[in-house]
Amino acid sequence: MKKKLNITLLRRISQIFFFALLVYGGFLYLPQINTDIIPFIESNPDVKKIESLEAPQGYTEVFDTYTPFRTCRYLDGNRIFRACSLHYFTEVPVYGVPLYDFLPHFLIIILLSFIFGRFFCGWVCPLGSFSDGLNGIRKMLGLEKMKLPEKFLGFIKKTKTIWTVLLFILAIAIIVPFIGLTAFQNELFLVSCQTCPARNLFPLLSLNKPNWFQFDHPITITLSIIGIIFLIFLFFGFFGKRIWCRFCPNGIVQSWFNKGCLIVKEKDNQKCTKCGICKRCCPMDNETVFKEKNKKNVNSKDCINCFTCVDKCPEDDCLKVKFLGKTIFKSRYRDK
Amino acid sequence: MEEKEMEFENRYPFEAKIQVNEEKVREIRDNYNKISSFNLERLRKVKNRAKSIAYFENILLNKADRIKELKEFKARGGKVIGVFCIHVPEELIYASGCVPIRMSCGFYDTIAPAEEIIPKNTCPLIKSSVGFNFLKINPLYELCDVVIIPTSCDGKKKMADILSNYHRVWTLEMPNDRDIDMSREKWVKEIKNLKEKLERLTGKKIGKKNLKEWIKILHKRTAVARELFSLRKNKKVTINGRDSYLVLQTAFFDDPIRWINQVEKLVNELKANIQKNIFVAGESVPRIIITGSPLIWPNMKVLHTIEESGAIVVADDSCACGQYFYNPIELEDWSMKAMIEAIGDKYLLPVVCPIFTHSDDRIDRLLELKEQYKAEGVVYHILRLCQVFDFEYIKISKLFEKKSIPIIKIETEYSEEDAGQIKTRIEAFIEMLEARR
Repeated sequence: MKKKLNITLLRRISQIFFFALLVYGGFLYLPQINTDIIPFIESNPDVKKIESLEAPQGYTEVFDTYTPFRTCRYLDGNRIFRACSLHYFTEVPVYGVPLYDFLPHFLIIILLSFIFGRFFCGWVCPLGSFSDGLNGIRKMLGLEKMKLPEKFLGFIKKTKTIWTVLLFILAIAIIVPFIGLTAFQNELFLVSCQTCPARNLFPLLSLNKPNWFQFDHPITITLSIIGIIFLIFLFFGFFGKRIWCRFCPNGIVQSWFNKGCLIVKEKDNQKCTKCGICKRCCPMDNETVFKEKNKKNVNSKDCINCFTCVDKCPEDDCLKVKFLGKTIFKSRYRDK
Repeated sequence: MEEKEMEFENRYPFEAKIQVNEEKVREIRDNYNKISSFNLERLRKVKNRAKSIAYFENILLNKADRIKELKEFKARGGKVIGVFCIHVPEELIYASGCVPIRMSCGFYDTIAPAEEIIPKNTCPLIKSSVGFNFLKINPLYELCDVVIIPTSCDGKKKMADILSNYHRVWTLEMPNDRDIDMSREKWVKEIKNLKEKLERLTGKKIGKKNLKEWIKILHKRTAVARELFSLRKNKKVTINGRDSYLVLQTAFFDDPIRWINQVEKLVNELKANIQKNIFVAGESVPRIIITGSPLIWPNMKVLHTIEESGAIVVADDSCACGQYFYNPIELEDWSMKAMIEAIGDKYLLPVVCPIFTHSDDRIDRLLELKEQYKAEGVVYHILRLCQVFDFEYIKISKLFEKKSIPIIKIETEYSEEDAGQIKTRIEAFIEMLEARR
């Protein structure tokens, strides 16, 4: 039997690389970069507004680069890398970030999404990697995996889009005068960030001062409670499946690209023995690959493009990953 | 789980005895050996046969060594478990320290005595299996502590009831429609029950390590079997259908580790044969897929007829050969729960058995086999009164007609009466295949 290129190994390397870069990248801060050489790079105009949220201060200057990701604002001195696409939906319209500052990044992330779909969750996102890491720890400890109740997962599935849309409306509503939310600008400041589990987790992981939840106003109390619930969701990843990723607004926005992107997962229905391995191995409990019996294309919204199913499929050539019609990876039987 | 629920309850057991005297039993036993050796002789006529097959021939004819081995194993406190069908999870049985032995049989002479306790209008496989085991023609049967019968087809279901008069029986509740999630959950629960039952039988817990080890061993078995089958994909075939049936069916009772080693030896020899240009069948020989009711030793009638008429069986989707070890287990973590789920999935979802309501999965498999093994025609073998396969034939034949794949239906019994008639039909079919080229 031929030796198989292990796509899961490739993905793990990518995850570790980006985890290190996005969480500990701040330590790479190089003040001697001459900003005159690189066009479009200037100190971030929204920094001062961020400081009002008691973000820890470490460095006096902040750089932005061409990386398409907006880094987590709660990470000390780590604004070199943009790690979160939500920036374009919440921050940019609200604070009037100048076009030259965000447009290159925005275009790059749109382009990447058109090519790879929801690649972010499976290959880059440090929260996803953290979730996978927790699962790895459980495996090493030899603990049983736990199945979360169907009702709970069903609830998440139904409400995730509503939640995302609500989040964006709330984020933008604070600058629209006639809605009347302008009075709560301080409390509703960046709702998506206030409810994100990364807010406490990343500073703690990178040995910074964590940004504790605030309980001084009814709105902040509500948002903090939601944030705590989401933080608990993230730790559910310990039991085997990714839970937070099903609710993450960033992932949901990217999932809209999943059906039209250039990376296509194809299934040969005749070769499929319906053994259910793809369904069992999926970290997102995605059933599309298993249940699809007619169409070739098995891309779906819930898919995080981790290709675990392609890796595990025991039938030769049954599942294929195609890029512009060219097969780049296919399933193969492994005799361990 | 209560003790009562564990066992197959039979409140009105009957004491019917199959009225056959000792002499008749001895005659049947002799006849079985005679037919077995006759079959082997017919197999040996094939030229360029691999020499490593001798091991499999030997253990099929001479079970004394294996019986001795199992008796020693039982003396050490081990249990032997008889199983029917491919739905019984062997990983669990091995991991609990027991040995499974598949009890299915294809012997004609035991049908008549079995008809006293089993209705006449039952498929010959069930009648034969009951007679074969009940008359103790099969010496391995006496060693069995429990017989596990999955409630697959109607015949098997009722066979459990009949057999419970004479033997300790456990059933495995099979879902009918595997496409719905509920049936999968139910099946996994059933596997968990089986685990508890086995633990109670042996008095030992099934350890995680033990189960993992056995999953890996049986995964190796799958890999070896798949490699053996994949050799038949070549244009020139080095092992014919009958021999692969023979090899796979010795795994019914043989020790798995020894079996794996022997098959590896065989595969290596066959690979060497390819290098040396030694073939059983050349490129011009018509390639045939055999499907339908399982052909079980010593019922090799149809296979003999096909291969002696100048064609070769390159693949099959039978639970007694091609599908027996085909499906692997893939796991992403090795916790007990995950292993049980994976084992449950392996023995339910990909199994090509017509007892499930949908026949599409089996059709997919057949089409895929036809493509992979470059087969030219399909022989659809139906044991008389095996309804499930008969039902699916109509759909399959209509589809194959549309796709212009030649298919022939052979409806037969275990007796040799219709051998001549089958031979004429199959010869005509093979001629037709040759003319189509």
